[in-house]
Amino acid sequence: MSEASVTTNRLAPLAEDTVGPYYPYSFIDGDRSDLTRLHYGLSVGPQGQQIILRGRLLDSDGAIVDDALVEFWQANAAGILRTPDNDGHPLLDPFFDGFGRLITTTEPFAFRTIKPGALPAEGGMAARAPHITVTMFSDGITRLVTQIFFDDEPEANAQDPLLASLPGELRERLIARRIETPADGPAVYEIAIVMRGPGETPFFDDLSS
Amino acid sequence: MSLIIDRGRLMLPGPTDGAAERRVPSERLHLIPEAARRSFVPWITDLPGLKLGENDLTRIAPGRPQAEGEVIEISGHVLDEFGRPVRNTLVEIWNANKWGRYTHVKDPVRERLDPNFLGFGRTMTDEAGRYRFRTIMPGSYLARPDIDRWRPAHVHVSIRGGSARLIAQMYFAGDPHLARDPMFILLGEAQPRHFGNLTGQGPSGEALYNWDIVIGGRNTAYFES
Ligand SMILES: [Fe+3]
Repeated sequence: MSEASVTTNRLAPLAEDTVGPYYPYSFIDGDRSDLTRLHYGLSVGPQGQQIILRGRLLDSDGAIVDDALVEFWQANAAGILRTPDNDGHPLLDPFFDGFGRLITTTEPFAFRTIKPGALPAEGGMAARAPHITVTMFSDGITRLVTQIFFDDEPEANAQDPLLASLPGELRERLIARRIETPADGPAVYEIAIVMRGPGETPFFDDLSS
Repeated sequence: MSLIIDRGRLMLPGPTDGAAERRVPSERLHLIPEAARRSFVPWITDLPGLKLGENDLTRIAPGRPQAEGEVIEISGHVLDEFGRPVRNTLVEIWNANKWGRYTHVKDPVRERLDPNFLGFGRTMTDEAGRYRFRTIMPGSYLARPDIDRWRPAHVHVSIRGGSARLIAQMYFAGDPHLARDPMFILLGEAQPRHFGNLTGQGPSGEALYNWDIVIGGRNTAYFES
């Protein structure tokens, strides 16, 4: 790193830090743990199947980690991510931008959203199975990133390049299980994200993403 | 079965917090296959609307009394590693009051609250990536009474918007607690860039600090041409 800095004009970035114990809860005002109801009072909303991703963020003692800041990022039901590359894409959903955020408590978190579509193959990128990128910040860690998949997408999961890059037993740890729910409610998927220890979730090094 | 031939970084628990030992993965991070890379970077478009005065932490609201303590001003640019300004991005800061107390409900009650100080604020960078805050010089606080460990004065910052994401801290050169602060020590040769640079005094005698916030590789992906 220091060699690179004398041979290029790149600036050295600041060090990533933990959010510490006193991240202001007020900053969550206006943020989203429910992406299906961003538009109050409108009888229209995002297209797609409403789901709840219910998750437990666990430490090495198996205890739920509270006060963690969890951020979600996903494609819309048509598999389109709202990135600048996709500006003006005909399949962008005007009622869905795909970024969610919450702070965990001592209870499992519930992120209400729509089920993302599979990302189409394009520009040298492989097709991707439906997934939600989850980024975690908490006291004691800087930043952890992983992606969560769905157990009712076995064919797509079998083709996904990220899952394929992992040994089989680790793949399973990224797959949320659909649980029985009333037919008229949103589908509920459950996932345990284990930060450390037995059953540890695989996290990804997104240094140059 | 795929054979893993390369792995990402190993995250290490810092000594500053007991929870780190239970929260930092024991395994190395996994590398992202190129074919899967595109979807890892959130692009955040819908940032909170800002109210007048949210970048002035010295008053709870415009027209309210000033908080106790020394007023300081912190300003600078948010930049990527190539020196390009990160425009229209949300900058949030939070810091303890003059006596080292946060208004956060989980801050143990050891020091006084200041009824005129909330200790957090936010702003958006402008077209040149500039930001500016006024706040109160934070007090040191006893983070670990069990081992008499004090945190030096510091201001926390969060950058979020577009594809920029960073949590960091600004410190003050000369603080006597720096030498024994594990979080600061861990910065190693990066320490100097985490100091606000005292550049002078404002019209009311407030200390002016310049602090440029450079966002690293994995935090930035998209830039307007
Ligand atoms: Fe602090």
